[in-house]
Amino acid sequence: MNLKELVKLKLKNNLNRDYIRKILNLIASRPLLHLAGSAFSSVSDKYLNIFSLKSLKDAYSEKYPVAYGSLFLPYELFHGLGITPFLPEVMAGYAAALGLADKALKKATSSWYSQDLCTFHRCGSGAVELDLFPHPKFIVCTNLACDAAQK
Amino acid sequence: MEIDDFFPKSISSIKNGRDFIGWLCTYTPEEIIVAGGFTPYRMMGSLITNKSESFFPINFCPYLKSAWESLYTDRKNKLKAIVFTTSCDGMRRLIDTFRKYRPDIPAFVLDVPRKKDSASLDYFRETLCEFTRFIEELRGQNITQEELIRAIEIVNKKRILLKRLKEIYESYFPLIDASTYFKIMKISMTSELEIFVEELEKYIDFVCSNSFGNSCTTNNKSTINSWYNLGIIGNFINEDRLWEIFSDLNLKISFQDLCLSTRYFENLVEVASGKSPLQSISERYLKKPSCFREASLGQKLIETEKSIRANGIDGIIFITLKFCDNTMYFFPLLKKALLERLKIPSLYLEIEYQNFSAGQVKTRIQAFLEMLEQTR
Repeated sequence: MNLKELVKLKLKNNLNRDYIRKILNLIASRPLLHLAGSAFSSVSDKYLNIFSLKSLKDAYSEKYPVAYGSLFLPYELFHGLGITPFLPEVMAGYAAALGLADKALKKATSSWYSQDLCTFHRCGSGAVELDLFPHPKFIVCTNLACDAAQK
Repeated sequence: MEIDDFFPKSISSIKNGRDFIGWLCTYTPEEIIVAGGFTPYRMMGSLITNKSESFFPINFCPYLKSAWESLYTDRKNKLKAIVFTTSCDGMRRLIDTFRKYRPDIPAFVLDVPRKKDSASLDYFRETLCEFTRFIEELRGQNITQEELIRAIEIVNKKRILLKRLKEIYESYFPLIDASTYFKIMKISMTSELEIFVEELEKYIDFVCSNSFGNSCTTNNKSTINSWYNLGIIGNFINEDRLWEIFSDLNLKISFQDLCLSTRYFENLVEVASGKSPLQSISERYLKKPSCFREASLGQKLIETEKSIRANGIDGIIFITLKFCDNTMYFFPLLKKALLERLKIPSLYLEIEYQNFSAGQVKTRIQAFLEMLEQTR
């Protein structure tokens, strides 16, 4: 079993915010990220992943203010103000990659979210119901992408 | 007498009358259309959708598909222009499709803000200025201040009468049943204004003076306790068979929050000196009862809870057209509030537009009523 499969299995069996924080502290550590450099298709891909994981680690660390946002927001402003952005709909994509989407989707359905709603947002909503995301200080959204993002 | 017998001129007014301007969302300011000498006409769509299925995906708003069916296939009507609003994603896709396949009909896209703050009011007023210019171009003549004020008066009069009808329906139940009430609502959106106002006035006088032999006063309010006070919340529910079910089951609706009723006629345009008519219109439309498309569902929830408590509601029937993201995202919040704070049961119905399994829905409503009976 490779590292990715191990992480997926561990998360599935311990699906809570504290465990996610522990996993992020481990895999977002500088030595491990730079060690895995050869696994990326390009240098920019490598630094994009390093940045994303570091950002996630900051969001879960509870050391920095977190704000939820939707797509097409000017996140430069967030970073400039020292606020860690967290995008529930992007996290839904992470959840799917880690094989965790079905739990979040089931939770959303049982919380009266219609199954006709977009899976990204429904998964994000389910994950919020499961209390898997860091708690935000505030939320900023836009309907530029779609109505569901705003909701 | 059937309800059509009370509104014969209104029903035939669209075929025989002035050029009309179609609209699809209650944020469309009818006053400006009326001031331009046109009749505002809500697009009700086609009963059957065939061609529109090839333009839009399956999981697309069924009302907009139905509206597109009639816009695309019916080329003999007196549709002078059409007004779209940026209500939702579906509407924006309909705009794109309309512009490509019906470039022969002038169209205006009204950008409606999703908030009610002063910046939104100012922005909407500017949008209404552009809309006024669009109507003036169609007309070939400017709209005067007097014409606009006169239009505001007549549309306000329609709203006052519709509100009076709603009060009679809710307070003097079963003087008017659900089927009749919503049929009148539909006629109000699809007929010449002055003709409808005249016929509605006569209808209200007839109902009040001919039933129970007395006029509708506080003393004659419905005191029958056997009916449940139900609330209906939803979007554009234009389904005659659903209202017939409500009539058959003798259901009393004490609170309604639908595009076909209160969100259409609540609140008047208040013209005041020092305020332009367009500013007054902007305020009325943005501050009318909130729609689910608005930015703050939390605010909508507060308003809904307030209305539910004020009307002593026993149960809520939440009805939405399928694939309406804005409406469907509201239900989980409402459900939580109903369970935790208000402690009243609810029924969730998702229906197609003009394609309705009446038997199944009736069974579900009957089961809901049995549930209410047990909680009494």
